[in-house]
Amino acid sequence: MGLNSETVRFAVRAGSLLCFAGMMASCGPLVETVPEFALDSNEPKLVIHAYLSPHDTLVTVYVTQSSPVFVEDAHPGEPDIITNAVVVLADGAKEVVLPYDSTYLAYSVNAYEIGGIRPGVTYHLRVRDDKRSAEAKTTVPTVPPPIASYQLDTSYSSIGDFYGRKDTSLTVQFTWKDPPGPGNYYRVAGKALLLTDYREAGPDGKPVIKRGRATIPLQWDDAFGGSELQSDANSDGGAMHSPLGRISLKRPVFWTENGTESGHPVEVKGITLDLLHTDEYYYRYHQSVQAHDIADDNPFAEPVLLYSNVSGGLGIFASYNSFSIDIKP
Amino acid sequence: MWQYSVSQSVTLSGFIKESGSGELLPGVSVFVPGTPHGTASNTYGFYSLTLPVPDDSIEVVFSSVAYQSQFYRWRGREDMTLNIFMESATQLEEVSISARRQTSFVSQTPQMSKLEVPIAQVKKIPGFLGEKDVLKVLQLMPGVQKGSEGQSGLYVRGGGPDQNLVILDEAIVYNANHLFGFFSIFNGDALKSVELTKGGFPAQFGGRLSSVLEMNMREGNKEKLKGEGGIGLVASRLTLEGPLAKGKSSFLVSGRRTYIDILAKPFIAQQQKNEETKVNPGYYFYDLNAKVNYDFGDKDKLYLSGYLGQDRFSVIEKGEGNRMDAGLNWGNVTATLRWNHLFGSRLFANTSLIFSNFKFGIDNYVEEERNGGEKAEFTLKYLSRIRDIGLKTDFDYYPHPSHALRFGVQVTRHQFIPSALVLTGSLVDIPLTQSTRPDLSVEGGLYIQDTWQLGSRVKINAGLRGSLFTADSVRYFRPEPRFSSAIRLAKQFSFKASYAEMNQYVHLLSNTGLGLPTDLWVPTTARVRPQHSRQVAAGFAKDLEKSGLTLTVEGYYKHMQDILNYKEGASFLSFQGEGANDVNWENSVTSGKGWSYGAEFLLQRKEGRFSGWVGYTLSWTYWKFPELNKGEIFFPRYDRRHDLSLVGIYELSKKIHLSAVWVYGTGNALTLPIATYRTIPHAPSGGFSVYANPALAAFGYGRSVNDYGAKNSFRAEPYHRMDISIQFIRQKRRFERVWDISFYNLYNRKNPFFYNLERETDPGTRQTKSVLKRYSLFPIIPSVSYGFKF
Repeated sequence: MGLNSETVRFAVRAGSLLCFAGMMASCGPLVETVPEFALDSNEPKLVIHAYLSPHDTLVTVYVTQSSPVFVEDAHPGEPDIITNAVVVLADGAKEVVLPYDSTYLAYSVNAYEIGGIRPGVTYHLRVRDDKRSAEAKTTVPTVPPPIASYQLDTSYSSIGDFYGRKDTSLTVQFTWKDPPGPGNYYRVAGKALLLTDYREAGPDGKPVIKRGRATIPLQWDDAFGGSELQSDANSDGGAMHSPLGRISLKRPVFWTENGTESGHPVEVKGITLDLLHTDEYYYRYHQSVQAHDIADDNPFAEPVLLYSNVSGGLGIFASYNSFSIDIKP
Repeated sequence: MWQYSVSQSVTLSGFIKESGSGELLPGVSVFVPGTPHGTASNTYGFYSLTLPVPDDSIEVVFSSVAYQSQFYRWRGREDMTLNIFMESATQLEEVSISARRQTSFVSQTPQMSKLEVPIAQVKKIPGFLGEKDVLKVLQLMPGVQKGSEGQSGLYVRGGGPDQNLVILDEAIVYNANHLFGFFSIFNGDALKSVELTKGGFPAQFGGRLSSVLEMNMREGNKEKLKGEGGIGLVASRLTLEGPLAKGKSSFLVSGRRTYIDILAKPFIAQQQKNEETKVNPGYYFYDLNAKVNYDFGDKDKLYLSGYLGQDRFSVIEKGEGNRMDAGLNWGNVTATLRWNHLFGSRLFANTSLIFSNFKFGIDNYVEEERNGGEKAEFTLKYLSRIRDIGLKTDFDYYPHPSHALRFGVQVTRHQFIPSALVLTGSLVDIPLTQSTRPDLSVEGGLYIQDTWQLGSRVKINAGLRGSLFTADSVRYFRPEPRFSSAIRLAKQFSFKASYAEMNQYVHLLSNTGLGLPTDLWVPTTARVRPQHSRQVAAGFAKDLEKSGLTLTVEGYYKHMQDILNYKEGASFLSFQGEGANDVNWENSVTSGKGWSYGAEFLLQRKEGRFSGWVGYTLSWTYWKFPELNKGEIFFPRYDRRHDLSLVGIYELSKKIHLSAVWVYGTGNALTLPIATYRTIPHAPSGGFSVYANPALAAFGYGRSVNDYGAKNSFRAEPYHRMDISIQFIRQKRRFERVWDISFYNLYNRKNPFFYNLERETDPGTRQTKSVLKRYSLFPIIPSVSYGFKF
């Protein structure tokens, strides 16, 4: 929606003017590298990511480590995967060790080995390698309330974009009723099955445009209110609403030798709506991830300390349960 | 306890004025030497001294800093009205002042934790870019800290700049900043007095947790037309004052405006001569103070005063087929109408009608020409506003030689528009119109306090304030006990102790820590509770009569409940809510508690050839918020272990004045990354991964994020700086002129403004590594200004 980038541009201008105002006398580059002096002990930490759900047949745990600043980093921004950790999942009665799977670069095991992931059960996860250990726990939530109603709509805007495409989109919004009692957390999700034009390399290596099916996630409109993540803190036992989910129906545009070429309009074949009943850890972690993403572009925002329920490390071990419906537009 | 009946006492009362100008003088000590009987003139220059009928005639002394003491021999047989004219002490040689010096003593009043800086001193202390700034001088006092480099916000005893009650002629000033906080809005030429109270608050003040900054404007010379002005590098100022009806009525008008924009215009144009897109930035601020008064005689006086100030920052960018106009503007307006009435020699009343308004706006307009020649637009309008109308009556009642009562009532209606955003135009995906319907609330206060002379050694000030707040769905009534006392241990040496409870019903959301106008004022609501503090302070005060020095040592402990902060990641433009068009700032804030303790040391000399002070503060401030720092205790950004200020003013001769300031402060507590890692958020519907390999898709839903360790666990490097100034004063035939040459940051210390972690590639190994960069704001800055006075 362009607001953040506007803010940034604005802040840059404000800053440059401020500099000018302050430096009538001399405006030199007042930037210096500080000697590495005051940071806490700076060892890499274990980072764990795992989400349990009764619907999943495979339990997957991702184990990586953090890259301390001031240390030379061979692959900046890439995950630093730990392959030699011992990963143990326990439900209080039974323990299973998750072996490392080099295909998925993760530790995984079939859920039936621990008797399936069951609602109401608390699972403990322990991860250790030769230097460090970390642990976390989660209690799997119950089945969420059903999606009570949904509403489909189509929205248009009168003016075209850079390519002259009118902005047409299919929107969907749904409701559910929160069961009485506090501490319920939700996430809304959904995907659409589309028939759309796409480009592929033809037999001669030249690109050809084809029509086929594609599944894409709904875009939730959470700018200025509404959120994929919700808690019943202020609406316990009441009706809850998803934000507006959106599927763009803009015709795709392809660059070809002859310039740009417009594809055919997109057709929506089906939509799946999901309501996830999550534990508090899941909610808080993903909320902090969202806040982090927003704050990252905003020079005015305080840094976001990502939520973690992992003691001795970073990341998240959380669980959810889900309810889904399929609808035809 | 009541030793005398009222009929056995006599009252001497009247107004104390400055000789030559007729300006009413507040804070003048009126006392009978060798007895515990004494008082001080109030804000309007009125004093009332009630004494037991003396056996013999007595000597009454009128004394104040920067004025010659006046002595009056009084037989004291019946009540008497006596108006006093105080002569300025500056004409006298220092020797002759100290020969019969009887000044006001800090050790004699029960009030503690109160700082006063004479305006005359403010004008001699080096100012940033030559601009003398009252708030920045107060930052040099113990218990008062500055925030970031160059900022005029005050952090008092671990409280934030939002917790200061800043009042100008009784009107609350909501934003005291010009130019993003680099200058304060207070123009020293228009001010008569500045007092900052850090603890032991008198019951007449309420509504903020940490301090009361009370400023009063001068009334204007009642005898003849006078003027004062200055031309500096950044701004020029002019003050005119004079009689409207001689001895009865006078006026004062004082204005200031910057001219960076005008000076910069040709340079900016020159730089962009060959550029396709022309960018035209502009910035200015101005402020205007005005006051008129009418004296209906000794019984009634009327004052009307006002402040008007505005900052405007704009950028116009014009290129081929596109145009952008962007502007920020903010400003305060205050107006106060006051009526003084004297009901007799022992009862004084003032009634004020007060208006205050602070507004901050952003406007942004973008126009782009599209392929087909169509015009696409984007319009953003943002408004945040608070508007108050208040009525207030205060009584000063002096019924008895041992008691001075003060009581009153105050009602203020607040109108808030915390944040209203309107987005329109074809470039906007989702047009938005947030409600501009203001939130209404009423804040009230009712108080009584007694200053009680208990025997010859103990003086107590006990008071109670009831504070009231009502809005849509909430109603609070909270009692606020106040107590302060002084016990005289030896001659001019006393022990003082105080206790104060304060409540704050309006809150400021600030997440930059800078004095940006983007900070929002918001009311107490059903979800946001009033802030509350309790503070105890104790200490010693010693007046060293011979040298004119005052020494105070104080310790304090302050506990703050329900203080507010933005949630991590929230900011004024990214409110989160439960539905579109229902954006609510309440979702972006979180509350917690804080506590602060410390010790303060001040050795001060307010007048004389060599004046100034040494101030030192040792303090700790802690915050605990369930939703910040994972619920763990942390240091807020401006927790400062050591804070030291040395201020010296030396009058080398009548023509040359020298001054210097040196400050040292522990670095701010900041949040800096200590490591980075990649998140793997859950993607229930799949999603767009940066990794094409489906096995790796999960790694691609997230991004590289920072591990900050604990909140504010990084300490910035210490801040220290020296400023010097030299003033050349010359009396010309018709006026006096002053050349002021000053250097800010004399030894060019690269103080941290902020830090940024950046990646650098080693040219040899081609390996990348993080480095920490320190950004400093101001190097050594010389400035020169010219001032005149007639």
